[in-house]
Amino acid sequence: MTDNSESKAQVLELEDIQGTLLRQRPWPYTGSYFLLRIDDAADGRKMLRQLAPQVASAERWWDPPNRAWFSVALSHAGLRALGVPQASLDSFPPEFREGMAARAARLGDVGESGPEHWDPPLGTSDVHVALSVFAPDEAGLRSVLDGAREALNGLPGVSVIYRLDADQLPTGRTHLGFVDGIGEPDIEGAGVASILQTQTGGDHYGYLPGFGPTIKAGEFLLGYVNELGRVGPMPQPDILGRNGTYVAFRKLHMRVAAFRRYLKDNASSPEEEELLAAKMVGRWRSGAPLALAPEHDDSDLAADPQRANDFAYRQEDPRGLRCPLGSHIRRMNPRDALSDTFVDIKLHRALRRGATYGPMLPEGQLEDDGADRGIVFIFMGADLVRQFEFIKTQWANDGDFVGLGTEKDPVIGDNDATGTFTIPQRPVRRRLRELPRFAVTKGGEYLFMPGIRALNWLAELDA
Amino acid sequence: MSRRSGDNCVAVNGLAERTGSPGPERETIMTANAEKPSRPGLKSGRTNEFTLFFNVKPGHGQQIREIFQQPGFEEKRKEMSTRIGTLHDARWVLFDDDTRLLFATNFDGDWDAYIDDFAAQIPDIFDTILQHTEDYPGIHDPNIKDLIVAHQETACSYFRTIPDATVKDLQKAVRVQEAFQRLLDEAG
Repeated sequence: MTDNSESKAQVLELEDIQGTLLRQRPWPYTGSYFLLRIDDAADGRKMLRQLAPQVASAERWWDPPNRAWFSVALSHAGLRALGVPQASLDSFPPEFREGMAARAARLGDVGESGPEHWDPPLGTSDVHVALSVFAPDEAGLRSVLDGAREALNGLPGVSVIYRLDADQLPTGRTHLGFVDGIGEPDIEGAGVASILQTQTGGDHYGYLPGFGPTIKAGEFLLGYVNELGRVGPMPQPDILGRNGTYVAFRKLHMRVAAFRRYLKDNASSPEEEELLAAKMVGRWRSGAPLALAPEHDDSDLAADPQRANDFAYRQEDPRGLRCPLGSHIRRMNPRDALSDTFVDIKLHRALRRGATYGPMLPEGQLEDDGADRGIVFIFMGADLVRQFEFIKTQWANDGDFVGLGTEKDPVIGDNDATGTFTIPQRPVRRRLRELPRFAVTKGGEYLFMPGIRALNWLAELDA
Repeated sequence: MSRRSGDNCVAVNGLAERTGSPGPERETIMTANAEKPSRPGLKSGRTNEFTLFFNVKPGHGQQIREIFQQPGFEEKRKEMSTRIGTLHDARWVLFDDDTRLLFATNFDGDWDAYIDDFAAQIPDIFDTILQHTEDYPGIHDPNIKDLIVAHQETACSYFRTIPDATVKDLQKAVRVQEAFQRLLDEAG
C-alpha cells in the first residue's frame, strides 16, 4: 500500500462526529437506551430535526454540555421509514441491511440466545431509531431526557417502543465484579492524545500507554482512509455517509450466580476462585492485568492509568502462562500476540461503549434471583463484518487462531456446558470443563450512527 | 467463464434429466446451493474446500510455471503457510493447453474473514500468479471478495478422513508424538 494518503495525518471533522464515538463514557454514569418506531415519515423527520441540535459533537469532547452523551442511530428499517430513497438504502452494506437477527447463526446467537427468545421488539423490523443518553448524574440525565421528550412531543407518528435503563452499579464494576472499559483503540486524529498531554489531572477520559498502535480514522469513521490504505465503501449520498459509523447494539444477560458457582465448584479457596476469575478474564477484578500482575491482584497497578494497560504478550508471555491464550481480554485484543501470523490486528479492532443494566446480585449470593441483569454492549466501527463479526466468529467463538481448537471465550463465548477453558501452567496445564454460557444474548441490532450533518440531511429529506 | 464445472455438477446429479424432468431437477439443485448460508464451498468438520478457476491471459501459461520454479519460492511459500496456519495444502493446475488455471486448497475456518489480512500482509501470494489471469484486479481491489466468489466452484462432494483436525491440531499432535517417542527412547 503505497497510497500517499496513508502517510499524512488525517484531520477529523470533529464538529460533525457524534461525541459518543470519540469520547469515553461519562464516569460515574447513569443512562438509558430508547428504541423508537416511526409510523409516519414526516413525524420521524420532524423528530430528527429537533434532536439533531442536542447531539453533542466530538469537538468539545472534554467539556460537552452536562458532560453528557446523547446519540442517535438508525436501523435500515428506520432509514426506510424516514423516506430515504431506495438507491440510498441499497447503497448500505448487506450485513447492515439484513440486521443482526438475520446473522444470528454466524454470531453464535443460537439456542437460548437465539432471536426467537430475544426481548421484543429487539431483532424485529419495528426497531427504527435508537437513542442513548448518558450523564454523570441524575440532574444531567434529566436535562437531556427533557430535551428528548420535548422533541417527541406532539408527534403521534413516532413511538417509544422500548426503554432500557443502564446505571452504574454501586461497585462501579460489571455484574461479574470486574472493572471494565479499560482498553480502547487509539484513533488517529481524534485529538485525544494531544489534549491529554495538556491535562495532567489524570482524567478518566483519554488514551494512555498501551492503547496503541494508533489506528487509522477510517476504521471507525466513514469517509477517511482506513488501515487498508483506502476510504472504505460509504452509503450514498456522500453527506449521509460521511462521519458516520456502524453500531452493533447487544443486550447481554449475565448469569452472575452461575459464574460465581462455577468458580466455587472449580476452586478450593476464595483465593483460588479469584485467580480462576482473573485467568478467565485476563485481568483481576480491579482491572490489574495478569500480564503485569500474574500472582495476585494489585490495586495500585490497577489505579495507575499510566501502567494498567501498558503491556504486551509476545515477548513477555508468549505461551499464556500469565494471561491464558484463551482469556477474554487476550481474545478481544490480542495486541502483539499474533504478530508472527498473517493476521493484521489493526483490521479487527473494536470501539466499545457499554454499560451495565439491572440490579446487582448481592455479594456472595450463589442462587439466581431471576432478575434481568447484564451489560449493554456497544460496538462501533466502519465495517461490521471485518471488525465486529470477525471478533465474534474468529476470536470469541473459536479457538483455532491460538491453537485451542474449538474452545471459546470463557466469559462471553456461546458455550453450552460442553466446552473447556485451558489455563497454561507448569508443569501441567489446567483445564476447566463443562463451561456453561454466562452471557445470554437477549437482543441486538445493527445500526448506523450518522454524522450530525447527515442527521440534518435526513431531517430535511423531501419525501 | 467458470460455470463449466458447475454444470458438471448438475450433469452428474441430474440423472433425473433422462427420466424426463430436467427443468425441476436443475431448479432444485440451484435452490439448494442458494440456501447455503453465506458463501460457496463445502465444509467437512472444521475444514473447507476451495476451488477457483481462472482464464489464463493468452501466452502467459509458461510465466505461471516459471513462478513456481524460481529459487527460494518453496521456502517463501513454506514461511507464508506457517504464518497463515490454517492451510492444509494448495495446488495450482494449468490445463486446457495452459489456457485455464485451477487453484484448489483445503483450509480451516473462513477465508473471507481473512481476505483483508491477506491483502494487507501477504498480497504477493495471490497477485504474483493471478496477474497472469484475465480480469484480475489485484487483491487490494475493494470488491475482491465478490470477484473470488465469481471464480469459485463448489465441490459436488467433499470428504475428509479426519474432519475435525485443523492444521494447528495436526501440528500439535505431531509435536506431542515426537516428544512422546523421545520419552520412550529415554525410558528404554
